[in-house]
Amino acid sequence: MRNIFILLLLSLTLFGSNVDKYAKSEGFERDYQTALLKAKKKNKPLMLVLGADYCPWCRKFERKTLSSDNVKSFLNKEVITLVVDKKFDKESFPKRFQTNITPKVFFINPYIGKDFYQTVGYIKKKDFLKKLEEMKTLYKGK
Amino acid sequence: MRYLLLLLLTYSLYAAGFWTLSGLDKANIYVVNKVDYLEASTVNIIRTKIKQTLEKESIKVNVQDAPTLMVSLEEIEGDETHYIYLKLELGEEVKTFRKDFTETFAITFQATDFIESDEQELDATVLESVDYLLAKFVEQLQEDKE
Repeated sequence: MRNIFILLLLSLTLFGSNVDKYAKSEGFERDYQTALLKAKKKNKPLMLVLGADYCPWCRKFERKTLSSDNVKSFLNKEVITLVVDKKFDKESFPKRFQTNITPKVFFINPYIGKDFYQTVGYIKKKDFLKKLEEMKTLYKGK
Repeated sequence: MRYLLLLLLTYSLYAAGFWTLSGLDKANIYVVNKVDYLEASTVNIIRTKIKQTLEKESIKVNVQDAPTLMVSLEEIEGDETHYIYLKLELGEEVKTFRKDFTETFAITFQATDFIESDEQELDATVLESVDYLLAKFVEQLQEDKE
């Protein structure tokens, strides 16, 4: 029993390691409640990136779009970022943000906990920046 | 099967493919032909097409330890019609995210096409399909340069 538990724990650690590593290197939060509180405190929208470990588009979206200089500097300035795995983190974020399609990004108003803007699928950095500007305008007129 | 279904639910509205070809500056060419009726000159034309495509994209060819860009042609038997499965793949040594970061050979780009043709049109149809696959490769290359 003890061995099974250790094996399970080890496998969860291994599965979670890529998203943890990514979050750490890019300054993304991993816990929904912590991120929500931080967003409220800083009066910024919360950006929840929903991915999955089997999703190649998610990895590409992280590498090519979210980690690009322009997008990164926008995100650092304007939003609080959170990344979750739809399968392994499913208990840690509200079910209303669960989806079959990944990657999906929700921009959440931290005062009411509801999303006001979404993007779906891999988006090139240039197009994602446009969407971020749209999101910013929407949030300002909240 | 389940994995395939899940992959279908991960997608992009905007991009060529989930591959990443950034930093590709050299490649070797390999053609595997398992279609008996294809003329030898057609296989040579395929090699030339790949070479020209790579050079146009400033990718050096015939360099030691370079990734391999491969076209493979495989025939599925039919009565009088030829059914051919074409693959364009880039294979190279990569470092994995496994616990010991094992290095292994991996496919880092793939485009496929399935054609049917009668014997008279076979060579022309194959070359058309190779053009289509190379166009997909170039699209991916250019997108990753942006």
